[in-house]
Amino acid sequence: MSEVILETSGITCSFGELKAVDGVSVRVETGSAVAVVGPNGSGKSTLLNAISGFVTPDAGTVTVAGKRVDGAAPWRIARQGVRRTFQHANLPARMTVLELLVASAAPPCEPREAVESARRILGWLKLPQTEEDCAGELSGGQQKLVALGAALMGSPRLLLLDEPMAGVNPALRAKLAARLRELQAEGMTILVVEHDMKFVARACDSVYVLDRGVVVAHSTPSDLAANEAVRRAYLGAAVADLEPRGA
Amino acid sequence: MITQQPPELIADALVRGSTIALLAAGLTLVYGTMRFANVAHVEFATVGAYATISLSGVFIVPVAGIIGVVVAVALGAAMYELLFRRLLVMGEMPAMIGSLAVSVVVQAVIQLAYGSRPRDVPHELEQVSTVLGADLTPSQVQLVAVSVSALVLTGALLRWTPLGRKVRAVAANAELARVSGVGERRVVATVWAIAGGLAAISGIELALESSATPALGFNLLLPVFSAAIVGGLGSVLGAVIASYGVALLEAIVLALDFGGSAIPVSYRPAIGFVFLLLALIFRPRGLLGAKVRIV
Amino acid sequence: MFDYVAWIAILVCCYAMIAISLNIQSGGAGMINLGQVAFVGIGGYSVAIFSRAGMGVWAGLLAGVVIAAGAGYLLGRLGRTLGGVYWAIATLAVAELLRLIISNTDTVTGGMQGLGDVAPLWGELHGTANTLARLAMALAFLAAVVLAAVHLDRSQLGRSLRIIRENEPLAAALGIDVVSAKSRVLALSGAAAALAGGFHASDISFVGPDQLLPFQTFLALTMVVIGGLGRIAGAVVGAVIVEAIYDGTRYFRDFLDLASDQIAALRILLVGAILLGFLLLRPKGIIADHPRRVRV
Repeated sequence: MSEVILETSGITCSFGELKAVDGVSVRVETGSAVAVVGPNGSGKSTLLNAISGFVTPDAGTVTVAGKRVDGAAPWRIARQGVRRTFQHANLPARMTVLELLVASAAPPCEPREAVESARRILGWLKLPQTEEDCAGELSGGQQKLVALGAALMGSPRLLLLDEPMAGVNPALRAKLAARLRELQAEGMTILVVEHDMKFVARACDSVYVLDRGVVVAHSTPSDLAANEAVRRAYLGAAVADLEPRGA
Repeated sequence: MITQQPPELIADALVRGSTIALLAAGLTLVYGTMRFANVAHVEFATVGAYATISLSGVFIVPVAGIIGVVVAVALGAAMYELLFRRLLVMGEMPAMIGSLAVSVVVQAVIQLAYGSRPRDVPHELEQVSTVLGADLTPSQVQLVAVSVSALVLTGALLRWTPLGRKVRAVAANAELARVSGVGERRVVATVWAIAGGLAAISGIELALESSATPALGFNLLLPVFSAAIVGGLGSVLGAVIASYGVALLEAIVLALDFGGSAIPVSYRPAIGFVFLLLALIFRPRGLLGAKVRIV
Repeated sequence: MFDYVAWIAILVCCYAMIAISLNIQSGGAGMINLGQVAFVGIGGYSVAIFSRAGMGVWAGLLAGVVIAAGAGYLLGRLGRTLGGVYWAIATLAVAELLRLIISNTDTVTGGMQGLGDVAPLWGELHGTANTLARLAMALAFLAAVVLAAVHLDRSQLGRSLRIIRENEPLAAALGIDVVSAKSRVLALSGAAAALAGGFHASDISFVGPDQLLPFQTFLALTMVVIGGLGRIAGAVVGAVIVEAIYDGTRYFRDFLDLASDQIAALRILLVGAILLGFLLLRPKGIIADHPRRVRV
């Protein structure tokens, strides 16, 4: 019996005339990996922003482990155990990776323990050699890995990933995907916004398809591939999204 | 109890508001298109004023004024190319600090060259005439007339010319504009020239109406920024309305009589600030738009 | 001669304290506070008012520091709705408002005349003993501010601020209460600046509204940028250099045939030009910022 750790109900976000997200309801069960896909402009990132507190929805609710968080400040939602990453990592250029990770530890924290946790996470990420490098000077893919590490420093119960594969070269993509699978195997709940359908197919239990702010489909990845209507609508509008990845 | 009649208050507001509006309109346009909070913007006014004062010895005042505007705009262009463009690459904040430094330097140069005592353009003593119940000097009438004309012209330019439409597009969304290929360099040059020109006119008219000191521009900094912020950075119309609004508020507050004592005139700049603070308190979600949070 | 050197050294200590207080905001957290001088003024006027009212200079100093810390905290909370540029202007406006109120209130604050006869912090001493006491106290206060700044730098709060200065949304996403962090650093900054202001008022036995002009903040900002944004040592070095230049040029009047307001303008011009020069040519300052090692 799995419980629902994240639930949004009827989320609507409009910017002026434009309804970026229109009545979206999403459920994520503890320990599952859920993907949100859709063409550019479908409202995926806005939905993620609404869940993590960076956008206040005009209507609807966001509930984390039974507690309503819509309208709360992003840092408060983060302290509820929800950690998110950004499409562009933009890590600070004047901090070392180790310092960034230590700073990401949830309070209260002993610096010594934080350093040990940070080193453990860096080791797990297979990036121990970057400890003293400036975080913002790493490659895009490495920054995404480090950003994931920073999010994990807070021992979250829900990870929100905003296009983790974007801008990452294939070798690092494989690494990132492997780490995420390991996390999932350990029971982490993940909600990922992605274009990389291969990753979604392999890693995710269920997929929500968004188009122009509305949920047009919700099923397992394999069922989705078989769903002709969705394939036509989604692929038709977003063939570009499926073009070969790689820098 | 207000010690002045409505026509006088409105006249005060028109004169003061015009000065602020010319500056605020330019400032808000520059911030909207370039994300540049130019603290030195008000110095266009000071430069224009002093250039005109110097030139009024050689040319008749209107010609001196026009050349003064040209001098200010040319100086502004040079500042942009040599300094501000490079600072903006570093970020909003370095650019703002740099503009603060420029502001200090410009004021210092003017004080070095002209001294700190007020200067004015020599003219005969002015006959005050009564217009619709308020006493106005001819130069005050001229100030309002010239300012309003300049603002209307600018508004027309922004509304009805293709270049003006581009400017508004960039002001509304610089990222989007850049991506869609709007000619950004021309937009920037146009905006910079308009802003500088309006500011110079403001300073020149103010100097003609009263006098010029090296702090002419700096004394207007807070009311101008207040008007631009309250009006919504990037919105010229908002800045103009807020400018006259601030001026009206100043006139009313200064005319208040608390049973014998009044608020000293030296508090005038503070009124604009209080206006700003109140506006921000009653619109607590700020001016960026209700829903987006940075933190 | 010794008196003169001591005088300069004490002035440098005061400016260094103010520069450090500004640095922990700008270099440490990326905030541009154009009204820093208000905190200095709170310290100075507190000491002066308490001293003249017979309530004791140290009580005045404590009051000033506490009030400035509180004001700083409030200013930080104002930052919830105001982003970078807006907040900078708001701080300038607050400082100007304070200066206007002080200038126009003759009773408590002495209006434009300021307040004189401020008692010294170190008791009644004369001659060399007095000078040494003043110098020792200035250095002690500076040491205290430096220690506080170093402690902040190495703390989790300091680390949080370093994320905030480069990427606020990232900080928020990591669970950092950004507004609270900024408010706390502003409280510390206010306290340090007030300490400098209070000491200075007691040192020269005078405080006046001219000490609250925006140019004073500009001077401190120049020190921080030239010295090196983000480094405590940078703030101190910047204070030394800018003070040397600004005070050294006092003697221009001896060999330049210009009016006094023109000499003043020339000195200001020099400082402004140097700041511009550094911003364009060496924005990192003399002592460039470096990533911190994590100390356990």
